[in-house]
Amino acid sequence: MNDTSHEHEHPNYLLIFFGLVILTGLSFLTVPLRSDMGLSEGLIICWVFGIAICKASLVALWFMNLKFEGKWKYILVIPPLFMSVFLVLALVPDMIFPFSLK
Amino acid sequence: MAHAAEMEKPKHMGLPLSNGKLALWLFLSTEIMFFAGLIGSYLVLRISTGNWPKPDDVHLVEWIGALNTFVLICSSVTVVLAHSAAERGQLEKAKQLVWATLILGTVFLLVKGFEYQAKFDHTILPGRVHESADEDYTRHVIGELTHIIEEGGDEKMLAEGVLADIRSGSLVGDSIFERIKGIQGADPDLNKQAEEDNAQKLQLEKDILKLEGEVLSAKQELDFRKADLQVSRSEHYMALRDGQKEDQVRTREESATTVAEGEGGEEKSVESLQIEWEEKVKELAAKKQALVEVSHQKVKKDFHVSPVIPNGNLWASTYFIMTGFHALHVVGGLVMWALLIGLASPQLPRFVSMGIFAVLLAAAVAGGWSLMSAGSIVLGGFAVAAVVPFICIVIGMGGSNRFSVEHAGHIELMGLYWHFVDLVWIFLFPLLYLVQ
Repeated sequence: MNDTSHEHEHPNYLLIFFGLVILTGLSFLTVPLRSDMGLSEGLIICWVFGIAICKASLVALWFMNLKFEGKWKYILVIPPLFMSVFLVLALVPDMIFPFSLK
Repeated sequence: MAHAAEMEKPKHMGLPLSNGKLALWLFLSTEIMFFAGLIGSYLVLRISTGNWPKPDDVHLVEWIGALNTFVLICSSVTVVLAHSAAERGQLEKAKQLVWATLILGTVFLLVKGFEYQAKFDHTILPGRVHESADEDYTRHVIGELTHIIEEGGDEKMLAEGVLADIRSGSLVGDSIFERIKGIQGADPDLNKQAEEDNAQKLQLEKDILKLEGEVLSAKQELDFRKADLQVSRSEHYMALRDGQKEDQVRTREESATTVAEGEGGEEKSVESLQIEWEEKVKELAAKKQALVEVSHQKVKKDFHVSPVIPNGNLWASTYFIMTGFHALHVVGGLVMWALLIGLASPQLPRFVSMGIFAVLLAAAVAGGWSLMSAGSIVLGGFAVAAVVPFICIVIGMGGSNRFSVEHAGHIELMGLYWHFVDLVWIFLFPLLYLVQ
């Protein structure tokens, strides 16, 4: 419950590092495959952002130690994440109804 | 007194974590909101704007983005390894890993600097991009082409060709940029053509070399035969002039006939040699002309003429705002690591360290300024940004709180910030480089 970050064994950081490198390579694969295989843009968006979320989770959970922290992490991390998502959602009408820039 | 005792009581924030970590996470919360604002507005602008520039259009190279992603991932892993080493009391190892982080962060900034320089070179800057091929664009291109011609060099011939076509009226509006794009190698068809041209050019160069040898030997043979003929003719006429005896002359005549027959044979041979040589010379000239034509169509990636990019100004604004703020965060992180390295290095009296810092900073700024005035505006700026963290080491050397196991906690907090900077890049990379 307390500040537990020092009480656990350190995870295998190199393994996570290789995971991150492989995921980066997988998202970069869309560059040559886009024209070679005629991938649709929707598929590419899902693919690269799916990978970005996986990479972000690896960094946040293991490198930033959130996996091993106490319950305080929910108080400090969830509100800004919620507000960020809310901010982008609040902007959706602007995306759907394009405004004139000139 | 009771009041004073109350004041001295340690305060608990209600969350079971150290004040430092709490402060850092609150700071990161504001940072999450900050970048969410930037990315959110980018999404609005991008999704609501049709025809958003593709990475190719704005000279954004995907593999360079991937390389920088890799560099930041490497720096993140060196940080966690440094923290774990410091916790176990392996201070020397921790120091080396912090050094590695500092160097990797600097590599990231330098790569970013090169990328920014490419934007400056192609004038892809907020408010400076031509969004349509109007008269203003044509005037601008004429100015740039004239500049290229004045400077001379490889691109001069290409620029002259384009300028002549614009002036004659055969290139107007969009076709001007199409032609320039072709020269810069953005057109896959033209690129393929350029590859074929290159292969043809190599073949032509080989042929020309061979032909030149053949022309030379044909010429030598021709000259030799001509000289030979000359000699036999002069011998014959000298005999006639000397008025030799009849039988001798007859013999001479006989031999002259033989010579004449021979001469006839010789002359024919000389003629054919002459024709052969002339044909070879013509062929060589044709090949040389073909080589000039093939070389003329060459693709030049560094043909610096402004592009037409619809919505390019908006793209440039969002790109520079997001990557610029991210790069500033990297600089901040590097200063932090530099101070820590300073604490782990031999101690200097504070006034000495501050003095050295001031001198080095002045030198870096002067160096950056001279780079900027030499035309490399961005590289100059980034060179200063990349050097400043290193000179911050001497400030750290003046610090009194020497590097110890207690600093493991600091490394953890600084690492949290550094990983956050990495996290932001993890999202910026696909947003800017991969999605079209």
